[in-house]
Amino acid sequence: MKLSKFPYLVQNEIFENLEHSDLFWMSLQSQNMKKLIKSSQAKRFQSISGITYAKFGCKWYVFIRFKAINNEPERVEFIMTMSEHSDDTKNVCFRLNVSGRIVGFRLSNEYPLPELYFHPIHKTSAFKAIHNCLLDYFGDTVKYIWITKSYPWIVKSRKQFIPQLPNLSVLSDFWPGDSEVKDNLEAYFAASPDLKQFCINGNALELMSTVPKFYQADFIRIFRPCFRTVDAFFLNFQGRQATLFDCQWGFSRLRPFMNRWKSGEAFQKLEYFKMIKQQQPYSMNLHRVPNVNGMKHIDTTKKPPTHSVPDLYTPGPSFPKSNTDPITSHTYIVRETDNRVASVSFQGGNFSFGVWDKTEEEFLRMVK
Amino acid sequence: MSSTEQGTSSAAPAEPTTAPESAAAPEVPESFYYVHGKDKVVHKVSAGALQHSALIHGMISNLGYTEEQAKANPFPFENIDGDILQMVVDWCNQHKGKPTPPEDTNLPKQKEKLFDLVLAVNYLEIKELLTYCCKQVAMMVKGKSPEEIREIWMIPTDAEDEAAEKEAKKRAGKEAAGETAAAAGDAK
Repeated sequence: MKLSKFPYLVQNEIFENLEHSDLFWMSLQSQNMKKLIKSSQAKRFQSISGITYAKFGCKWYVFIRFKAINNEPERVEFIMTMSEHSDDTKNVCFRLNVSGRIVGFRLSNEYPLPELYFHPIHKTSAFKAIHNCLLDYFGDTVKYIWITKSYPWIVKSRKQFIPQLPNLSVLSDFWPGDSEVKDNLEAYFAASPDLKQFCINGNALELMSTVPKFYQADFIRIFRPCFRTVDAFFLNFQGRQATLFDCQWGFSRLRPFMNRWKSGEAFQKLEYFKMIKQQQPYSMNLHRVPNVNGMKHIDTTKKPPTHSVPDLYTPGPSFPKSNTDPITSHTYIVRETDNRVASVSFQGGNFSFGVWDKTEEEFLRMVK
Repeated sequence: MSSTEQGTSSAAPAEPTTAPESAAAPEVPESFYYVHGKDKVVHKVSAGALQHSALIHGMISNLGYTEEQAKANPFPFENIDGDILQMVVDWCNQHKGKPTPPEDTNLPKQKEKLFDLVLAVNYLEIKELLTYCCKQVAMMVKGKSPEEIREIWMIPTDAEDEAAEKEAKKRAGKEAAGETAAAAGDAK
């Protein structure tokens, strides 16, 4: 049965019945096949939001992420797995030319998917070949994300592996625990490409002699930040969402933070910010919003709208994407530069700040 | 409602034996048409069954053939093997006037037969059957390794594609040279 003998519309209908992973493997058969799939499935590709590499256990998983529809959990589809082995010729089922490099594959014992099998010394080149291949196939309009998690109790003395690849963003949970990892902290930040999401223990940041570039990440979570880290956060954060967990410090910085947001001087991209207080008897326990010039209040007899945006945190492929914690507050401030509103709340001593994509007039129309 | 005929005609459809009791419009006798494939075996098919094929439906609409005229003028589909046309006719009869189910498990399992059926169904523009066939063709490679996919669908490698392209260019060059020579000869 020669697929090429079918008319274009028939080929298209056959492809429509295949998963993206099947199509991707077919695209590796030849340049002509790749061209055919890309041209016939162009519309279908529009539902893809990104390609993610994530390491779980001893394997890397490569999967497609689809755009969320109607607030439903994000759908993902695995394409392949990758693993390293000192004998990369063992168990190889077939070899393919991937971006000009012949690489070996075996059949995964976990998923009915091919698994790229490479020697540790070829790790960088293997990822480069696969990434270039994916980039060529899916194009540069989708996001390529590298999820890396480092836990000292799992990854003993191992350096983080983040390849330097074009169009690659990094989502990282980083818990440096041993001395070697600490020594490599600055090298890690220097080497990391476009950081999009970062979770880190505040103590580790204290070890840095320079302000790390992760403050430019879209999303950050800092656990137990020290005083210096909280200050660095308020001075340098340029992203969209941030949560500071287990905070003892920094509540005194909230007034200048809100003033800087209100004037449009900083935090222009901010959508959501939360400070969670340290659960200690001696920690500060604020129950009212610090007074800021221009703070506005909705009549207490009325119901304010609830702020919640899609949470950028991406812990893993099977984790349903949820929204940020809802903020329902009678208090808000308005940014002077574009009249955008931010709901401001203190609940149980935790501070929440949610920026609306609405002007004050539009916001007040939602009050019931 | 259909029969296969070795080039002979069949009797006209039977008339209803009892008149309808209701005062509704009288039942119109079903009209039949005749088709044959490469093997010239003529199949008698009702217009209702043929509605599945957009191509044939378009051909018979407003044709106004009498039974005799239809019998005398079977539609020839010389590009379709007899056994494949039989499958198509059977499918159209089975699904005449019924909603099509979400799946059809009665399609041929043999690769070559399925391939021919896809081409025939695409030509005859039978949308639902084409959808089933394409689904079955796709299922053949689901979960298969790239090498197995290449084998099942006979996908040429880059080297084979290049060789075929060179060959096609060479042939086109020769044909063009032949045409030029012929034109020069005509001019003389």
